[in-house]
Amino acid sequence: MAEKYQLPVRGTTTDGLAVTISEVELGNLTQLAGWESFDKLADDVLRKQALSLPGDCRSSFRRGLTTVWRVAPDRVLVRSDTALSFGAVEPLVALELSDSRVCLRLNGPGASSLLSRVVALDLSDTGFPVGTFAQTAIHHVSVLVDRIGGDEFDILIPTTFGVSLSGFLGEHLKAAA
Amino acid sequence: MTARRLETGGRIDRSRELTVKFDGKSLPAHPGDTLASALLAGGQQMVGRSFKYHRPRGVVAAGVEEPNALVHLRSGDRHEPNAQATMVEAFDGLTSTPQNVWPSLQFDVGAVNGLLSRFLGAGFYYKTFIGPFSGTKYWMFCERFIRRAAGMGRAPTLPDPDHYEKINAFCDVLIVGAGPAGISAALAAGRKGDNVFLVEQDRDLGGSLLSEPLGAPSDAWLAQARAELDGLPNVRVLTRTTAFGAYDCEVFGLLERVQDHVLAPEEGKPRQRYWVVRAKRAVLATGAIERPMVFAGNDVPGVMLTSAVRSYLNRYAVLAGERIVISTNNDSAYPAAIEFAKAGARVTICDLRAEAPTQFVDSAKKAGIDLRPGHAVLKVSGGKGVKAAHVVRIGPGGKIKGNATRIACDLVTGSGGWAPALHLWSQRFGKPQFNEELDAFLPPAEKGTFSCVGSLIGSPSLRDTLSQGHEAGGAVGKEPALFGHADHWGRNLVPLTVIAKVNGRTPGKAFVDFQHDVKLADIDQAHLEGYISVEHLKRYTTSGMAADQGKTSNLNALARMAELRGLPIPSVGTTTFRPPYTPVTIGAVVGHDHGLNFRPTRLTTIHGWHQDNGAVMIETGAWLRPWYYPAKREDINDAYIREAAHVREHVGIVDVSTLGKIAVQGPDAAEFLNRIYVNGFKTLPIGRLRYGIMLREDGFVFDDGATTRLGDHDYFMTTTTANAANVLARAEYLLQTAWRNLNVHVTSVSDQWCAIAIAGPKSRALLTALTGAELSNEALPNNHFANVTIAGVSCRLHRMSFSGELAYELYIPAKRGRQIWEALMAAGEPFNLKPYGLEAMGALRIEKGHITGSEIEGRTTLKDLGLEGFASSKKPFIGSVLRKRPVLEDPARPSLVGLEIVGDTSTRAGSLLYALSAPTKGHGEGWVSSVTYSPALKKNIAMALLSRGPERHGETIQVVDFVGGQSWLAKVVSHHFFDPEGKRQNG
Repeated sequence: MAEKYQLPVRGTTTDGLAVTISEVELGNLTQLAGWESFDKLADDVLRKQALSLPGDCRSSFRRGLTTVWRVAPDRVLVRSDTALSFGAVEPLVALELSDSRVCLRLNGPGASSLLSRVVALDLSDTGFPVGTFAQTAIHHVSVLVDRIGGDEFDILIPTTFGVSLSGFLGEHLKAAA
Repeated sequence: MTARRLETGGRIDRSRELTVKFDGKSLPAHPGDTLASALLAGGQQMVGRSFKYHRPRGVVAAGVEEPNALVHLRSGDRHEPNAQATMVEAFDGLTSTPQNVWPSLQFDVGAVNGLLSRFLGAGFYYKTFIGPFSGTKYWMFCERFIRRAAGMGRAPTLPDPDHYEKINAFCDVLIVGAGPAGISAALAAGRKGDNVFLVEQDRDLGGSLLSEPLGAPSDAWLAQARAELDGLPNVRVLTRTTAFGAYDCEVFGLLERVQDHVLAPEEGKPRQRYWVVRAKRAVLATGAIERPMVFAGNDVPGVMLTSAVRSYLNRYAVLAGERIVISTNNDSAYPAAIEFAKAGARVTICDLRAEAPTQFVDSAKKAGIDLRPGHAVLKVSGGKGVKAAHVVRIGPGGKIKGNATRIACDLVTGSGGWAPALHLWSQRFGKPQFNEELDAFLPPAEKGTFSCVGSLIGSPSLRDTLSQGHEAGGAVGKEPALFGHADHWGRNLVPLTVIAKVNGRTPGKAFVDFQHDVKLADIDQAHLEGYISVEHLKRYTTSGMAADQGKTSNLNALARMAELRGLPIPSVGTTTFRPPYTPVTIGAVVGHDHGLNFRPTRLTTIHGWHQDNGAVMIETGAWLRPWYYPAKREDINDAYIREAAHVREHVGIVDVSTLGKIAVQGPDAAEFLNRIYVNGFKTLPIGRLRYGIMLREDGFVFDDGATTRLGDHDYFMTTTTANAANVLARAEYLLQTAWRNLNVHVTSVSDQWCAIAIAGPKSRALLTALTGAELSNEALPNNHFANVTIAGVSCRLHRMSFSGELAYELYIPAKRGRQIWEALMAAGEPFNLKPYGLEAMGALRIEKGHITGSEIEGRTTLKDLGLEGFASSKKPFIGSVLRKRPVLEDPARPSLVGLEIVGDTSTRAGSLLYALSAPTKGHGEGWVSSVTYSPALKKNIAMALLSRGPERHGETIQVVDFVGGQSWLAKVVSHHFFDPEGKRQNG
């Protein structure tokens, strides 16, 4: 397995750009899923929380510290700083996933540069604008990459891969250090 | 060959001097030199020995097509084999050595192979080593000598100290090749505002323009173009970068040699960078490679490509010979010859065409060139260097006439036309079209999102080349205009490159593929033996199969094949082009994915505790799991036996977080479970859980686990650790295809929940004390669950047993896993709670007769495993039809049994089973699936699949481990070794 890194890790990519890798609190993560009329039903449930359903699987809805990602045509993930009470959501189903992911934050002018070494995504300002997200893989592990700033990304990683992937990312900076 | 550095000229930095070493000899060089130019300038004519015959070989080319000048670079852990001297930039301290020589370059014992060449032709191995003797021993004996005698460089054996990285990039247009066409395209596309990648394998931009004489009009244009490109922020120029592969969807592989031009990479810099570029469109401006002439002795050091000699002259100020004979079939040799003559060489042009091109005759004569139209070089004499060219007249039909004339010389150059470097195009699109006028395969100018420009498509002039690039780039801005350069090579080309005697043979060895030592005679022999496909020809003769992938040999080989078959070249076709265009280092392919990062690792959230408490870990798939917790001086056997015995006597806990966990939700969840499991789930009440088995469609057992009903439409499924992803994928597949009418969602919650098993007679007492919950047999019977709170954390406690003991599984929100584990350890102290690892868990489950992946290994059915009773006859389920196939119902199939091993040693999984009196040959009657020492029974036991197993309880059989060379006797028993009535787990 990858060497264990004590986060935060600060370093530079091989092209000399500084970046910091840190772990941030994920908060609460809830999945809503459904079937027929998902758009309307999910939007109704989300609107009760002053949220709304994003139209596609790259854009997100944000309000304060709450973010809604549409991760599939019939599924959304809601990240929030406090537990949201969706109440009865039938005929949708809700699933608590707060412990299933850890969140790494890449920050600094080298954030895109570092990420380009591990994901096959167009990270340009037009290809991946601030406020959008993508589901991809880092080192074969499924992750969700959320661009929260020009030089800032949050990466949601399956909890049990957290140590390994933070080590893998850190290795890119260690080699350049 | 008496090459020398000229006093003036060249694109080298004469203000600085470098020293490079070859074969222990120091050679002067300048920045801008290559190793090859330094070797030539230093008079080093012979640079290596050939692959098969160990013939002396020298530099042939000046670029990526070089087949001969392969050298070892550097030493120690940075040793690198098969480096093309023509592509290695000179730097101070560069060391290189010749390859495939012993004991020395000058005197090489392997050269004796040349004397045996009559017997070493195409198919030598097949004919010589297969057939005379049965079996492979003779071949294995000979192989060691063959491998020593043949081959390329010596592979490195030490760990590579450098690092490599991979990077992804996206662009609007990828332009491959920064010659005049590529630069012109980049300028236009850059001005248009496109996001442009311009890729050049050389260190400098310019391509063929760098081989123009210093001060040529192209120099000023190049400088201006470079400045404009540097000023365009949307244009990224990558030099020292080779586009080696073109793949579907406009994905390209590039290799950037970031630090290969220095002694050792700078701190923080990768040696090489592997780019994966996704482009919206591509412009290929990859140029063309000169085609050698084929004549006897065409591999003697001092026989080179004409264009290469021109590059050495104009780019590196090295005149490669004093007395030069040029053999050509086209115009492109003339401007070069004139420049050679002006530089001081005596030049003879043998043009096999009947007349010399009129536009060059005057200037050639003025330069003192001996023009011999209607002539060609038949043979070169010389051993370690050219001594003379033997020139003959060429008559109609390309046949030689009369006797050869000997011309003393030190350099012979060949110019047999040009082969467009269409590799990338062909990798992507397949077979190109043959152009008879140019005697070459060409890609079309446009196909899909690809544009091809310049020499790659046989552009008739430099002006056209620039114009094509400009158009392909988007035609924005002023079209570049450059004149004064020689026009296209294809005009009046005569498609003849093989110069042989009237009987078709050459008066000596004539090579088609220099790097693999494939002679013209080998092509002829293959044809005689019935080979008609170029793909077969390639593999039989190995022409085009070396590291250079036949850049200089392919066209000549297939032209010869076409001639022998009496067919036009297009009818014979080309071989298939595949990546990489040039070799890619393994380091670059690997990037950071090595060592500790070879693959991602999964750690449970309790991993830290296991480490802190001395657990020995074991890899199981991507997971690291605690294998055992050794006490002082304990080995694994001592430890697991102690741990398993402790569970039976007291209580133990084990981290089972690796179990697959899937949330099954939706109004049709019960129906879904009913279809995917062999047993019924529709009636499972809330609060209960049930063991279930899944089959594949073909009726074999796929996986097993327990599913818990949490709510009306809410189930929690567990799978084996190994099959977690497979079960989820299968469920998704079914829900998205065959069962789209079911309103069900499946979601992996393997990372959401940490799981701990608590097993042993004291487990209930411990959990009652810790949770305060009522856990009596009445309140929480087997196969039920309860919600409990531990240390303020809400958890779910499932009553179920894998060990056969009174046992529970505790499911905890993953991030609280270690906290709860530690709470259990603290609360368990009065109960003598101990952790146990995977090995002890295995021992306990074997004692109990529970199956795992060792038994569910893809070949076993429900019936084989004694689980047929689980299958419902009231409903269809996956595999319900095909499990009834006669072959799966055969009563002689191996079925699950237990074995008690006679004696004190344990057998091994995988051992084969034979009846007591049967000979131990063949596949036997079954195999051992799992073994352990049973602390409860105090004997070695095993689970096994034995033909008609259940009927043979009480029989003694033979157990044979053919790998380890051991055998045992064993008594066949029920696989339910321990507490078969289940009193302990249900108590």
